[in-house]
Amino acid sequence: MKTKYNTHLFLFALCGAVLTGAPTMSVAEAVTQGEFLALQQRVEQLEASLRTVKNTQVEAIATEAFASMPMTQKDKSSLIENVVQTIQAREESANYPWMDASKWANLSKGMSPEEVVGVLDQPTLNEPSMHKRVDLVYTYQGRRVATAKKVTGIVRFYKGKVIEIEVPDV
Amino acid sequence: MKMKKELLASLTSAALFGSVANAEIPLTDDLSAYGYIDMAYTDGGDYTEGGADENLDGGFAEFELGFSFAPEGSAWSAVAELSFRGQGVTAAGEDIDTKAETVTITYAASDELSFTVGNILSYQGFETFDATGLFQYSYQGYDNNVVYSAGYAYGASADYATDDYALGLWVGEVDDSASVEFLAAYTGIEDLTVKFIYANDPTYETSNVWASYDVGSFTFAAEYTTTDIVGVDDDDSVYMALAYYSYGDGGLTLRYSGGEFGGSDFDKFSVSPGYSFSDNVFGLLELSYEEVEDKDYTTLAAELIYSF
Repeated sequence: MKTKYNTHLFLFALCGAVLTGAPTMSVAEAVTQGEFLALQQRVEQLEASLRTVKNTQVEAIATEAFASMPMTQKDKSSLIENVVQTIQAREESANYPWMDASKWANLSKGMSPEEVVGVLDQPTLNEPSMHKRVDLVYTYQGRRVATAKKVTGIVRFYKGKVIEIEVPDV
Repeated sequence: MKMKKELLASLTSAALFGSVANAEIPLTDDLSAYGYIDMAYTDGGDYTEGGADENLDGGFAEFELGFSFAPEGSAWSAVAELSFRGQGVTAAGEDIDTKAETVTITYAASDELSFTVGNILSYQGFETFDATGLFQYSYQGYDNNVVYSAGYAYGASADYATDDYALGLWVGEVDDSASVEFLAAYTGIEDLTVKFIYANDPTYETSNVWASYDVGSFTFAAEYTTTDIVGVDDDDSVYMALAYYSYGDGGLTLRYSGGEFGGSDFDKFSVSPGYSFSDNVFGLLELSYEEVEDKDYTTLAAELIYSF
């Protein structure tokens, strides 16, 4: 997936460079008609490639959305909604892997900081506490992609072990 | 690697050097900031000869700002801390004392072994240099004196820390002579920490040993510090015992300390209830009774700390 995004970005960047560079060059130095046509052809090829990449990506997302929904008439009407939700879930999973309630269910008292990171990924904030019986506080904070609702989860450690878990409302 | 490096850094700053790390605000992937603001008031004894009891004194006690630079995957890291301390501030415009605290560059040769150069805090002491790590307001010496012979000093250290034990050696220079400090710490039994520190400087020689143990909601600690100061007949020799009881966000500290310090015999008893308003905000009160060379003093202190 990351490779697709990279390709996507590369193509955008290349198109941008070509499109913005072309008029500048025409001012700075003369461009022959042959060079111009060659560039135009190259841009068209890049745009075609970009369309292919985007179509492949959308197809994959749509396939995933279709697979997750029974195809009744009512459900078909919410196809767009499902696709949107799938995209949002993907974005959330990529940016906030800890916004998955099932992961928090895997936490338990006595776990080490490394084990917590193994389950939830790195915390947003990693800070000691002023509480005398808390050494370290891992704060997981972010906004839900769909609703922009701010959610916060907290894990507290004492002497290298989890002593308190505040599960985020996800 | 980063996590282990952070743990190592945490160990070297908290366990070995006896200070308490502060919060971490990521500024970039590699750079973070932390610090705290300490407000304190005291009302109590004037220890000067023939002096009357002082009135309420205090206000801004300290603002500390630190930066930690720890690039992902690099064995090198650096810390720089600035401390702005009030000078018994009671009126606007009084001087602020600015000092560098920990300013270090560290090379982590492995997860256990690290080498550090710079301005490094002494290994000595159960009582931390920063107010954020104390169980009460005052230090165990009378008149809020620190009984340890060293604080921050320029030098180089080698530290080896495992889950069960830690060893540290610091070497500095004073008047063309070497100043050394050695640490041995044992943490192999759960909830128990024992440390022995020996310091040998051209101007003093100190042995400091302390232990702390957690049992349920209680923390117990005991400490003995003796310092032979060059040119002074009587050694400093101070004992300390502390019990802390935690109840929810609150806690109560009882501490006794006594012995000979600065040429005076003393006994000190402190009672200090504290409360954590949040993970960042902590407040406490302290009432201390002191007997110094047959004179009695009573000191009341209130403190509020915000860490970030």
